[in-house]
Amino acid sequence: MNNYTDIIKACIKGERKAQKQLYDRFASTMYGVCLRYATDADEAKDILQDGFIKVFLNLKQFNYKGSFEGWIRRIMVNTALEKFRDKNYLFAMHMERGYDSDDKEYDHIISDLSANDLLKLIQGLSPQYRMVFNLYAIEGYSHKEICEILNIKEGTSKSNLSRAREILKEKISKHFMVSVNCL
Amino acid sequence: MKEMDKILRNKLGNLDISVPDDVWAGIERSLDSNQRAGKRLMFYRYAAAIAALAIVGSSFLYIFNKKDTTVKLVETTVQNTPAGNTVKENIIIKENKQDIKKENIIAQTQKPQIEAINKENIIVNPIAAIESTELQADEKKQDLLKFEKLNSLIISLHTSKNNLAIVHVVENRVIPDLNYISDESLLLAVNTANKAKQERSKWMIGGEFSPLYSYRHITETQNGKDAAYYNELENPVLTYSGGVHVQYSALKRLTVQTGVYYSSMGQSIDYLGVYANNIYDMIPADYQDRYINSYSIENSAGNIEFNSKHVFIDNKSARVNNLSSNKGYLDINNPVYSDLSATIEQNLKYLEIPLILRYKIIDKIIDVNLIGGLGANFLIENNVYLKYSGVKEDIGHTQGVNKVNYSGNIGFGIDYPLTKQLNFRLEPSFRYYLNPVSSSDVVESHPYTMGLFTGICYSF
Repeated sequence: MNNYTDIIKACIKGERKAQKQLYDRFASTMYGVCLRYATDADEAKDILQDGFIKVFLNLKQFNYKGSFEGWIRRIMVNTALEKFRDKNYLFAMHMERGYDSDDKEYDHIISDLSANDLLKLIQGLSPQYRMVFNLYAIEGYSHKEICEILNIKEGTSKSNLSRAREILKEKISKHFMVSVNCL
Repeated sequence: MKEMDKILRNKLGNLDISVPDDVWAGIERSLDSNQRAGKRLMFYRYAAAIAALAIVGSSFLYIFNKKDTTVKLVETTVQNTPAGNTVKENIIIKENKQDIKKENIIAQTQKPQIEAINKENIIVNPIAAIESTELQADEKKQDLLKFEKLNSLIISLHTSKNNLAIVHVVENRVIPDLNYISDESLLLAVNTANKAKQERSKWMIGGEFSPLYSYRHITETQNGKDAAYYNELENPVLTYSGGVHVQYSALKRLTVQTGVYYSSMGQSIDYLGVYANNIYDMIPADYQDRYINSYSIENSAGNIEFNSKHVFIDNKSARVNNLSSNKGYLDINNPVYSDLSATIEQNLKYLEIPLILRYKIIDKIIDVNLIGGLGANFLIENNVYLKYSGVKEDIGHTQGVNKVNYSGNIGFGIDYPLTKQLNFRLEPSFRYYLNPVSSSDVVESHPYTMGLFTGICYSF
């Protein structure tokens, strides 16, 4: 944390050089986060830009107690969520079928895919599935937290996650020639 | 956790991807325009405040100068001697500032008694007030001639002390008002009141107290939520203010006042759910006192940071931010306090040093003043309280609150004399913070208060 204290203080004063340093340090990592929540690269750029502006405008509120990178990441995630929350994408979905643990075939394929391919798979999900999948599977939030963050019911969060996994399986089987045994 | 999730988290969780160059340029443009807008906005606000103060101040001075004309009072003693009706001249010129109105042109005597007409024993000691800035010797002589004409009015005024009568003359015309003189008691009352007013001290100290209606005005939001969103969730609170002041009468009607005032201000949030945070119970007892609550609530005045182990969720809009990687360990179905029985109150306490101008619009037994000024407010306490079932518990503070804020004050006040040196004061006033209460640029929230100050002032 001490490594960032000086640069944070300089950023709060509005020193452009320090702001650029901060941006250079975290931009590539945060762009990876934004790409997961966005539909495409252009949308990810918008989220990244809006997110960093919020970071610079709200640096005074950082209390130096937790992880600074974690603080920036949460702002990026919140910025992404705001974009979609306003569009009311996060409606409830009916749960059709579950994803069970005997899909090792998919796990094997996923582990062989490149990060770019995986990003494209996730970006191909509808926003309501992409948000829940990112928050639960990648960020590690619980369904209870997700329902608070997205202001949806817990059942909706679970069904959206389940549906997201199914869609990912379908995409993998379609694009990577895997025969799927439906449950 | 599914295997698929683990793989994806490992591959994508901390993925670094090179960023297109134009992103930083966009951020830089936005920051530049934001800084310019911020500076411009602050400049406009301060300029408006200074302009308003200047207009109010200059209006006061203009009105004051118009009414409070400086005139020369000429005190002339004319003595008719029995021997030859010769005039003995004894002219004293002195400056005085006093409102001269035609209806006030009266003969003033100390215990005047009209007893008899006796031309031979008239002793007249007139004070002539004329609207010229300087009196030349010729003018004085002309005045004396006019005073001689008084003798022909066959007025005999007998005074009990020194046989002196005073006549006021304006615009070179001597206007004896015999009817007015006949009302002896009224004359005495007028003379006494005028004397008391003239002798009123210039310095005054006092103390005041007021209940306050405290809320805020949201001027700008940059987080996609408008003022109506916050207005629906937040409520005003009733607080209080009090302090001591000292004032100096710079001019007859204009007073400058400063002092120290303690003010409690804030706002509240209803529909609050309070939940047990199970992660706190999982921490070893030795470390529990070092637990940092990672939940906060975003509010128009800033983020509320909690020092309580509980989790507070605004149930009306489910606003809660989890600021740490410690994920939620709360049971949303089992609140400690229900959302209808608990309230959060954000409370900010300030010491204010104001600079107030008071202009007296009515200068009678009860004085009425117009009040306007600026104040520097120094933050001394920043607390967030949980209120439930009559209990008030300190649970945290609001982040990013400015240490110093500047406010504008307007109002009017009534001063009622209790004794010669003690006044009772009643003063409705409105105070508005000129700059946002928080350093956050996301929401610009300006607190304001309305109060009815009552107090006592002592002149010396």
